[in-house]
Amino acid sequence: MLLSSQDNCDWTEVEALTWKVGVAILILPGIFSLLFFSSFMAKLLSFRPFLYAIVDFNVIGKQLNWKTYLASIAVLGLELLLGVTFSLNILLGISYIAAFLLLACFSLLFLRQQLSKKPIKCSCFGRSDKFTNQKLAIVRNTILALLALLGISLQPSYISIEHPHVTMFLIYSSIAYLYQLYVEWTYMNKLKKEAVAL
Amino acid sequence: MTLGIVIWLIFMTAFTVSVRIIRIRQQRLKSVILQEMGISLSPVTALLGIGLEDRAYMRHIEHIRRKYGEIPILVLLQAPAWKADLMQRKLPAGIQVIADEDAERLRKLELMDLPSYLITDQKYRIREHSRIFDVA
Repeated sequence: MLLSSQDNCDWTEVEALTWKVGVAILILPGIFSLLFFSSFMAKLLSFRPFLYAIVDFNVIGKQLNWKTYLASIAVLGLELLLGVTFSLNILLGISYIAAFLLLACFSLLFLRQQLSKKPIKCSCFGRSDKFTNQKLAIVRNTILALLALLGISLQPSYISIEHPHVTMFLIYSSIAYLYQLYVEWTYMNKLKKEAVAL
Repeated sequence: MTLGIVIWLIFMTAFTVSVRIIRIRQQRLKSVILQEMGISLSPVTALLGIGLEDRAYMRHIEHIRRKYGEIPILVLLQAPAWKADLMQRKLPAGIQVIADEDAERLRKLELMDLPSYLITDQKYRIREHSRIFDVA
């Protein structure tokens, strides 16, 4: 009887551990990988609007200069790196911390912009001719930052680069790039409609 | 795994080529929109979008002249026609001002973040599309 109770307790722990490992290994890195790959590709394909967005956020001055380019390269590089590490499932602990810091920074920037009541086009996920819904952007980035915190709490390994999930890298990067192709296609169709209407 | 990487490389190449083709098509469509807008344009022209409250328009014009030389400049002013007439009188020859109070033309040309400009080439293709930050 005592043994049975001990077994039950062990199974509950195993189930809880399996759930945590499942979330940590599959769902969260998948979400973050798609997020950062999409964001990286969108910014790369709409590089100039992205530079303008950095100037509009007024963090490193109101001029478009070498500092703006440096900041844009830093953000792009970090997003690509996070997309790669999350999809390969390596260096997860460090990646969650970096993702949390990046998303928290984005949330704070949007919050500041919202308080100053200045509309902005962030070009976060590709070209857009509309102003960004800043309240939605704050909520989205905050939820993602909290998810990154959840990842930190679940993932004990900070330096593991063993058994990289190369297949997941190929799949996630392809999905993100396909999405950008869809964005470009949609924009072309919008131009077609306008050209026909004239 | 090797097969997977080969398929991925083929996919990435196809993706890059597809985006390039779509971008060329987008450029052609923008050229059509530009020509069909009912504005008389010289082939190489600067279209400068300016907002109602922007009093630094002479600086913006100088900025374009400094960068691209003495090309014709067409100013799209997001203001009523009488304001455009007033501005036209203050400007030298070679610069035309058109009122675009409801910003319909500015929207079609994607010149919504004012002040901003675009430069067309011999075939009415958009060669440069930039915003002007404080050039003072």
